[in-house]
Amino acid sequence: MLGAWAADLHIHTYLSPCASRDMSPGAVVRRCREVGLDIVAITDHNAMGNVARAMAEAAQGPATGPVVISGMEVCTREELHVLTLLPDPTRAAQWEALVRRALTPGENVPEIFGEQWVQDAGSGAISSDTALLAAPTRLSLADVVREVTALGGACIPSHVDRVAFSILGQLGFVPEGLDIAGLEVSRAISRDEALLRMPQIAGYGLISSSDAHSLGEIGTGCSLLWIEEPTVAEIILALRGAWGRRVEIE
Amino acid sequence: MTVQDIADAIGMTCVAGSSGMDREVTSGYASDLLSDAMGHAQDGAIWVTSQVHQNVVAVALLLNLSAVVIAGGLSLMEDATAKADARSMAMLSTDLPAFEVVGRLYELGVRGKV
Repeated sequence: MLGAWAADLHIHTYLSPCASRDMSPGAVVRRCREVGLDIVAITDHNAMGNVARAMAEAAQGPATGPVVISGMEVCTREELHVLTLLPDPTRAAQWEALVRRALTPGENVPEIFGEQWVQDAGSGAISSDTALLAAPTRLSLADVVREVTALGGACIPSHVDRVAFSILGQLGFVPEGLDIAGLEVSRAISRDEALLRMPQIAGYGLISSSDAHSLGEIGTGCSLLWIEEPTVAEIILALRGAWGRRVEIE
Repeated sequence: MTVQDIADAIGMTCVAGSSGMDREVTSGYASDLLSDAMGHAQDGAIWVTSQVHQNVVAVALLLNLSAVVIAGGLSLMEDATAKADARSMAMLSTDLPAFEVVGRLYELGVRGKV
């Protein structure tokens, strides 16, 4: 049976160099629970190191939830951001390994880009990811869509209404025949406004998300998913408006 | 030639990182792709771009560039302004299109590394 799930599919943790330092996976999950989110995706830049810990925190009682989806916000060779959602931890690990090999070589410089903290899912120990996560990967948009789709995942180009790092800002339009699940509009803009300003996005399933880089931003953007169960496959169906599934945004 | 000399000669405004205006400019580079600038812009270069986000400032700092020119009358984003101010990376703004800016820099004697 279809049910309504409050979803925020674009949330960062302190692994993202530009995120606030209090965004531990635990703090993020607790805040998501407080604001009433049912399903969230952890989407750090070019890395997935805090997804497992967030899943563990969400499963810890007494109050459990939300459902945590394995996600990553990838910066493609065209320097645009794409949310990638993977169906399970095994395929997420495959995707992460592929992206890791395509990162810009070099080490992060924390004084310039920011710290990149990873919390171990089991022990809770915090370490630094030393890779250059702030730089673009060598993967093209087409590469990302092909690989993620083959893994049963969903690709959703991020914040299409923004100038920086968006598919419309960098490419001018959404290439035809690209097998994306949908598009994300930022919380700064309503659905109606987005369609008025960017008529070319009509026909795509749209989500709205917080793109939270600080705890306070969690809950400021969300989508209502009408789905049967909280899985990536169902999210894809909802974005395509298939079999009664759908997405509602303001 | 300093960043200040160049800004005065072309009529560009410093919108952030003004404490870096006395840096010597030793070459020039133009690109709108961060990865391309990261691979090719030289230490001390002035970088002409139409990107306006904070990673532009981060890349300029990483490469130890002398200044960044935001061409085409675009406005720098707020977080970028803060970062440039904090790290004294001179950010110049002009209504001139990028092509025009590069031409005028060349006239002033600024060269790319080829």
